[in-house]
Parts: sequence; structure tokens; C-alpha cells
Amino acid sequence: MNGKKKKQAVRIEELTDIPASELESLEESYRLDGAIDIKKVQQDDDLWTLIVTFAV
Amino acid sequence: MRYLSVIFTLYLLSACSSLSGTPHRSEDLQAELVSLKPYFAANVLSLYNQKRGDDKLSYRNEVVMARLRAVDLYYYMFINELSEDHKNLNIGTDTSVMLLGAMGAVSTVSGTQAIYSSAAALVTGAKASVDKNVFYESTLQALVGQMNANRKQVLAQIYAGLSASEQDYPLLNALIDIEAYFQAGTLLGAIAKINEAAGQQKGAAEAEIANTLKGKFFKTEATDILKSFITDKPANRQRLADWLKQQKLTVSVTSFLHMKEFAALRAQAAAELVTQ
Repeated sequence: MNGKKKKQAVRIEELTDIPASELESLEESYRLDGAIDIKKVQQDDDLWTLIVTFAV
Repeated sequence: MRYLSVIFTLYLLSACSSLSGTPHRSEDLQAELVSLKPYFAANVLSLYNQKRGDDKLSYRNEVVMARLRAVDLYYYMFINELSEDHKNLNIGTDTSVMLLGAMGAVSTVSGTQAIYSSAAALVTGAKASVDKNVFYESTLQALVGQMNANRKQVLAQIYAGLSASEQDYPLLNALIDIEAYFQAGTLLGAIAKINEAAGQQKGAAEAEIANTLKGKFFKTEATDILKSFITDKPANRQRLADWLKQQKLTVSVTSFLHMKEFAALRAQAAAELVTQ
């Protein structure tokens, strides 16, 4: 035991160029896939990027 | 030639300024090192082997403690010199640069100004070179900290050995550990340890972000077919996930259905799963 907490290994998927209209259903779908974190980044007025984290 | 003599004089002056990062010790270190000399004789191992029982154990401990003390004394002198040299260099050369710059500024003769300015540049260049190559710039403090940590680690190992019998921790083993203790107090040992730690951290960081998948949103006919397939029956989502595993694909169902890169495979999945 060295007292340090072992960091969790993760897998990241980044889906770009998502139309705003698709954003909500995609978030829901990623949650069903077991995503532990979802970040939304707006690329421009219409397009978004989702950065999704999964535990490994 | 005249400006060269100015530089030389300033360097001599710089060598005179002395500030120590550690307090002066009252004892005579060289005299103490001389008194420890018998424990560094070539015959310590044969003397040790001639002894029996408690005598052997106490002789082992005596030799080990004497050699540890000698290593500590040399280490103290090394750190002190390192600290003083660095300070002297900084104070001396900084003063030289300021003086030469000032002399260049007040001089009314343009030729003399040029000489003083070039001399200042020379001293600045020399200082930068020595700092970088010999004292690793401002990392000196970190290196000393690393050396202290390395030494403590080996010292704990030696102390653990000294609590064991002479059969379990013979003098030869102890001497090998003392050599490691000496090496732990060198700049090369500190750099090696820092590099080792940095390598381990880099490996850990790479492991965390090793699996990153990036793709553009791109819906196809197969996307709609498969979306209907997985929403009709919740179990079908798992069937599609299992199919992805069979294809040795590490991707979520959602990304598979919407990333451009998987367009061809989506058509294949639709053909194999939905028409069954």
C-alpha cells in the first residue's frame, strides 16, 4: 500500500458535427450504453460535439 | 587587452564573494574522516570473518556506522560546495554584468562603449553556459531534495539490515548497501530517479487516454433500421452490443450507429441482425 488512490481507466468517444436536433436523443442513447460522463461542446450555431466517457 | 583585464578582475572579485546555504559546522570534518580511515581498510572483511558471535555482530555494525558517517560527511561537503559555488557564480557574474553595463553607459568614447558592451555580453554568455551545464539552472534545489529522499530510502534498508543477525545480513551485503547509499547522494542518481518517476507518470497518463475514438455524425439508412431494431425490444440493444464484440469493435452502440467511419459495418449489422 503506497497510500495513493489508483485512477480509474476510462474510454472516451467523441462524436462531432451533431445537429442540435439530434443532441437530446443521442445523450439518452449514450446513457443507455453506460456512459459515466457526457460533455457537450458547441461547435457553431447548429453543430455540437459530444465527448462521452465510459469506464473500462 | 585592457578590457580583458577588466573581465578578469571582475571574475576574481566574484570569486571572493561568499554566501553559504548551510551553516558552518563546529567540528573538523577532515579530521573526523581521517579517524574513520581504519574502517575503510582492505582487510575489514577478513577481520570480520575471523570474528565469532557477538563480536562479529558488533564489528559489522561498527564498520557500517563508520562508513555511513563518512558518506554523510562527504555528502554534507558536496552539498555545501554545490550551494556556495552556485551563489558565488550568480552574485559575481550579475555584479560584473551590471558594472560593465554601467561603464558602457557612462563612457563617452564610442569605441570604449562597444568594448564594455561586448564584455558584458561575454560574461552573461559565460554565466548562462555554466548555469545550464553544471548546475542544471534552478533545478538544483529539486535535485538536492531528490538526493535526500533517495538516501533516506536506502538508509532505512540498511537500518533494517542492522537489526538482523550477521548471518541474515552479513558485512558484504551491508557494504553493497552502503555503496547504494553513496550513489543515492549523487546528482546522477537523483536525475535517474526523477526520470524514472516521470516515465511512470507518463505511462499512467497514456493508459488513461489510450482508448479514444473520434468520429463525425453521419446517419445512413442502416442507422434508422438499427435504431428501430433496438427500440422495438430492449434485448436487441444487447444483441447489437454482442455483435460488435464479435467483430472485435470497442465502440458503444450509439457511436456505432452515428459515426461515419462505421457506415459500411452498419449495413452489414442491419443485414445480419434485422433480417433474421
